[in-house]
Amino acid sequence: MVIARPEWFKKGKGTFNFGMTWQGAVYLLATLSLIFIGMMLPQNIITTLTIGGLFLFLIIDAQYASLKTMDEREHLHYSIAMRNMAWGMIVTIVMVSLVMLNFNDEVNLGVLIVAVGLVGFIINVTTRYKLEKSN
Amino acid sequence: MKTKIKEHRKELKMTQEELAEAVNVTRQTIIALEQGRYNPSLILAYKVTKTLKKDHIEDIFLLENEDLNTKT
Repeated sequence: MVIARPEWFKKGKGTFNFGMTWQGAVYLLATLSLIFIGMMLPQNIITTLTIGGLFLFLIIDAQYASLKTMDEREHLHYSIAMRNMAWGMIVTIVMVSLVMLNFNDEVNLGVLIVAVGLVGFIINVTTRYKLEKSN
Repeated sequence: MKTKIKEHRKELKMTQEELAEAVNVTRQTIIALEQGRYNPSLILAYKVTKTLKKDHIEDIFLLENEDLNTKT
């Protein structure tokens, strides 16, 4: 953890607790806002690499900080959910690319990213829900 | 795996929240342990045993036949 702190991503009590404190929310919003900043800046390889690299660094840092707050059971659930998500995303990349290539002769990167993200999210949430119910 | 966490916790007038805090896990993990839905690591089992003021892990965690057949 370089910037993000584990206590920012600690689960609390209550319905309106989203698994982070206001510092965590600000950190994530600032990280996500990099995407829009990147869109507004002149498009060139240096900007793309800098913004992309910074974005990945901050996301991985937050992920690592959040891992530190988990106990062994949550670690297990996290690992299984991530494994399932990765497989689901790989299959989706192949399937969506094949379908798009068949119909358009080219791959629409925007649609591919949204589809893969959506499938990954659904698999992650479903796996965690099922694991929470079973162990 | 069957456990006697609930009985011993109640003997000590401890809440799930307090036990969770003492062994540094979430309350959901304590619930899963009490219901026998989760097999803890040796370290967690040891911490729970010590927190509940027992000497041996088998005073709290009871191994069943089906646990012996589980692939590890």
